[in-house]
Amino acid sequence: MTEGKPHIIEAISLGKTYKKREGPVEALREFSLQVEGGEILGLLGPNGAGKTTAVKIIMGFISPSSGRVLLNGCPLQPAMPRPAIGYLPENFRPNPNLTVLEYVKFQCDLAGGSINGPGKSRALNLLNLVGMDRFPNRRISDLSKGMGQRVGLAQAFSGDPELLILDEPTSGLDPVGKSEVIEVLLAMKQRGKTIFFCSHILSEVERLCDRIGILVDGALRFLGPTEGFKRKWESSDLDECFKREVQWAKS
Amino acid sequence: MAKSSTSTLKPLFLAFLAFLAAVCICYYRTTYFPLYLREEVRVVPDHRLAEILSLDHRGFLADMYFIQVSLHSGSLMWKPLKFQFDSDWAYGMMNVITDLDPKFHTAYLFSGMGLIHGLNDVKRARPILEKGMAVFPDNWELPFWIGYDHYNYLEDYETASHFLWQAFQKPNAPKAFLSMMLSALRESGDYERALAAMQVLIAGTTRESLKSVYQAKLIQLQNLAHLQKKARDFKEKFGRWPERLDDLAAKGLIDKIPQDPYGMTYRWKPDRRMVVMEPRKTTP
Amino acid sequence: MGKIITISLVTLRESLRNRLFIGLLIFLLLFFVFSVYVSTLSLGTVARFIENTGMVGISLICLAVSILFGLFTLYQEKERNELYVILNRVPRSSYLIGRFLGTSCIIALFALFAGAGIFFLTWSFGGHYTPGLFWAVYWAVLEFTMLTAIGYLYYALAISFPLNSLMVLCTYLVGHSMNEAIQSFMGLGRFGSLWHLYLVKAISVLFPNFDMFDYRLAIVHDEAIPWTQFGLSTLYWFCYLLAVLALTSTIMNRKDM
Repeated sequence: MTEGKPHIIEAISLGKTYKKREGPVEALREFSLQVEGGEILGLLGPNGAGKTTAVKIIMGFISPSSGRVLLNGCPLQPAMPRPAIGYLPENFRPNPNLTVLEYVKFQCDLAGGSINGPGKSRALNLLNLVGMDRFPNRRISDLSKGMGQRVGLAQAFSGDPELLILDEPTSGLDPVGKSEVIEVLLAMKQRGKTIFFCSHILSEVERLCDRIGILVDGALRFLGPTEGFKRKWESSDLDECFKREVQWAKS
Repeated sequence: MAKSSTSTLKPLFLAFLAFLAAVCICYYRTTYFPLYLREEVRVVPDHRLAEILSLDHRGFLADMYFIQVSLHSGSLMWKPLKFQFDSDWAYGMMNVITDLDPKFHTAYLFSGMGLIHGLNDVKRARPILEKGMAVFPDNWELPFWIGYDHYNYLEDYETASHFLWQAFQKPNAPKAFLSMMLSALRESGDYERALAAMQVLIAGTTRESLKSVYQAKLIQLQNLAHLQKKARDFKEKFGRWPERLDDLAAKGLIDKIPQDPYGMTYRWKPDRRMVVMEPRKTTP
Repeated sequence: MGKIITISLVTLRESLRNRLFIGLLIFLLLFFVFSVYVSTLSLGTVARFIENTGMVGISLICLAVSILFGLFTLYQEKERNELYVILNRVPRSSYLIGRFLGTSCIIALFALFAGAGIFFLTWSFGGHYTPGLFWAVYWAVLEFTMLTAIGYLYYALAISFPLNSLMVLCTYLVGHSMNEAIQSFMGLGRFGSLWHLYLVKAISVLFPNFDMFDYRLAIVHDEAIPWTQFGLSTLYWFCYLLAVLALTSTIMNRKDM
């Protein structure tokens, strides 16, 4: 927390238990995390670690079994919209019956805010940002997965939010696309945006993040700078460090 | 290019052959190994069940049932020797149809017209037509058809005259069935009404030749009505019906039996308790 | 309010572009052909037959629209995770109402198209001019918007789409059988326990009573609908709809998405 300024996101001892037929499943336990303004924090973990659950709790889509979340120092109001947050969920696919431009404009209208002008021009600017400006009138059903993901990013940026929460933002993108997205996110950071994202692609995490959090089986095993994580496992290979962390957590 | 067209045509041709084979097998099976066919079962649904099944589309269900009944009735026309018309079912269905849509006028008419294939059908049609009369109190057609059916099929002139008279009273009733009504009234002994009807007939006729005929018939009816009235007076006075018309003259109720303009004889029928008109018997 | 209208306009636009839209239009046209064909067996009451069959067509098409456009698209949106993106920006109740309004517009569009088609067919083939058919459109819109709202309620209870559509169908059947069922079961209840009677009465109150919108026979017979009945039926629709949407909003606001 910078002096006098609250954390952008502060999760305090979050826990979430799902009631399943085979018995209760603890998806998240004692999850505590703080995201500072202007930083990029990456939450890593293997599949089923609880990353999406954590994100959904922070977004207010699901209620925690324990703990609480503060956004800019204020308690989270569940089920209320948060237009100041740009959100891209995992496996996101936009509406297939609209064109690219129509969809982004729709999201801009919902988001309010302004980014270089009203309505259509705003949407075009966003498409330009994500490299989709050549296909404004193409039906979304005709797009590839990667192109759909770019449209998803465009809608996340609509409304010019201060905080971006992205779940697997480079999913489905080719290496060139991944690189472009990383550049965009870095540019967003330069503009003072805060980015909190989930991923399991370590190369982009290494390139982007100021700090990382490692989530294994619902518990946060590490939270700090990438270099600190490497020092913990005495390896310069982030991939190796991650594997050791997961093995140690499971043992 | 030739290779690709062959690779498309081959499976298509195979599919066509297989389909042809399936059609042939089907034809062969149905022709040479027919299944035992059960006799068609016709069911009259309960009217409340029909309402539930209609899901508030009572008119539509009534229409569909109506088509079934009309086709069943029509089949008799096309295959009279092979077809057994099921009156009980048909009239049961008409009852359900008119319960579903009480204002389905054509259904009532059809019950009295198109569905009559036998004498018993007249009795089956009557309650349905009477139901329609309650819904359409100003409609002349429904009582007319009851009267018509009783007149033509059952020769029940009393019932026929009762309903034909009702039809005649309705607004917009045509005068075309006056003759039949007159005949029914006369045959049933309701001479008072027959007189009234005859007067309407005369008033509506412009041809003089026809008028003179009607005038003569009017006199006949007047005679019959007069004699019938006197016979009722006889009954009131003496507690019994007269044995013959001469009894009326003997008791001073009439001076003499009136002269018929066509030379017909008026006779008292004790079994029917009414005066009838018969041709005079000429002795050889 | 602006966001509600934005969502409803997008709902309308995506529905118009959906291939299902063409499919349902084709179904409607085939139904028109069927109604004209059936009317040839009518023994002279062509107009009546077309009207009755046409009203069945309106009901079927609106039922299909309620389920396929009203409900299926909701589930698809959740499956695509697009729902979260929208709920991040608008309150859940606004989303619900926007979606509902858009679906209602589609229902009204189909009902109007069907009604106009039947009107034209009745006039051309039956020689009968029946502007009252557009009242059938009005009542169909009321009935099926109510049914859609109930589908939304089931959606809010996190019921899967196949089960939801089945329950919506059952609600449709029960709603149309209400009067007859009450008369039958009330009769039974008098000979049974008092609790049985209370149960039947409770069901008749809780479930929607679509008989309130059943003026089909009056339309076919060109009878005027009394204004009091019109007012009462519309008021019933409004109150019941409000209750269902309010309940659905409350459940959605409290439930995990």
